[in-house]
Amino acid sequence: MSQKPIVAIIDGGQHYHHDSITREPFKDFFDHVIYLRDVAKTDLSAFDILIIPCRTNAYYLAPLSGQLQAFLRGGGTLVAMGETFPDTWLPGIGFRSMPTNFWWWLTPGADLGLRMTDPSHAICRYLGKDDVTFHLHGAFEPLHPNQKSLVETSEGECQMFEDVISYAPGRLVATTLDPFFHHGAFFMPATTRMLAGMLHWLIDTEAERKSEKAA
Amino acid sequence: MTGRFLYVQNAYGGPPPALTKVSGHTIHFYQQYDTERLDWSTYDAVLISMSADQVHLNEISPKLQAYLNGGGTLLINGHVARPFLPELSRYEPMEKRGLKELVIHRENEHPLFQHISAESLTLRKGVAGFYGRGTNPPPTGALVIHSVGPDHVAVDWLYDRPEGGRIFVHSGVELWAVLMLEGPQGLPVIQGFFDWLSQTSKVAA
Repeated sequence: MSQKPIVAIIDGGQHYHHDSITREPFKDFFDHVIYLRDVAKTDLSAFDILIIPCRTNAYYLAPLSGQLQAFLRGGGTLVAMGETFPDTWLPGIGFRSMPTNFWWWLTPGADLGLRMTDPSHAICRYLGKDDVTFHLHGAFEPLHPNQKSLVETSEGECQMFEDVISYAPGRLVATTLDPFFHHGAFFMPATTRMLAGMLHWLIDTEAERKSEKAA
Repeated sequence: MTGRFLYVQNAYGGPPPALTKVSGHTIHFYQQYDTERLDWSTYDAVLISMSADQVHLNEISPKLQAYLNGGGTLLINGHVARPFLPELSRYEPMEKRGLKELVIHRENEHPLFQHISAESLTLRKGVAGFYGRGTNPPPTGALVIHSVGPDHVAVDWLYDRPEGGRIFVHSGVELWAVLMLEGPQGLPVIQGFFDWLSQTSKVAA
């Protein structure tokens, strides 16, 4: 019997964090909301999943690196969303920024070229190409062998990865895509779908991970 | 007239690229929490980013109000989620409407926008909706410059406080980004903002 995982999310004080976290349709997904400047004094071990939403200021995540790595090593799932630059506060992550192309979709028949990297991965039961296609900010490069790409461009540039090895039994999920920003600014329906898919995937698979561990 | 400005940033990386191209003025870029220890009183305007930490802005609201009382100008980007001044109310998104209804209206002409039309703000590369999709409701007595949609809800407004100082609010994506979406022709508009803010500043030089 799997237990419902406890989901915590950091609130960096940005309006799009507050509006994503406190309004429908996602407000009931988060069991705990931790204000960014309170993270250092928070016992993270009480949580199964900790989400760092898009554009949380990396300068203030860097001093929390040890605490966040300890959370992972303790078995938690840490989720670093777009524009949080985990390459600057976790070891072993490569990142190359790209100019944002806001306008690709104005060309009839255009395709940004994003795709789910491995159709057999569980995340594909929750997310499809259309849910992750809005625009690009960068790519995780070089990708570490432990980092399994979940979303990539047509050139194979990683936009989201899962790493269940480097911090075992913890799980690190990182993406360059920033749906919390756009959803929280009431813009771009694909980003709302992406968040819905990601949250359900994270929660369902966390419950499976925990029940496997207990077995 | 050379102005002095403070940009309150809350993001990793450099300042908004467009602001590094403004000429004739001094702009200091600081991460938000570091601005707390600065003396704001000599800045002609303090620019608040759309990504500002509004919890922190609430904590330093007395500093914001003291700066305004001294004749300063606050230029606020983004949606107000946690009102951090008595003049501010929580952002109200428009009901979901078709993109064609996201028309920006010029309610009052203002020197800040003398270099760009409301039509141009409505359509960025032919696409509506970038500039504003809802309102940070203005206080009574504010001058509404731009509104959006069939209900004409205020997107841009300017308020001269009876206690001194003024507040300009843009209820949408960072002006320095949205004005640059079509390329370098946005620069004169941005330059005009800084020129006007400095020319009309009540802050003692």
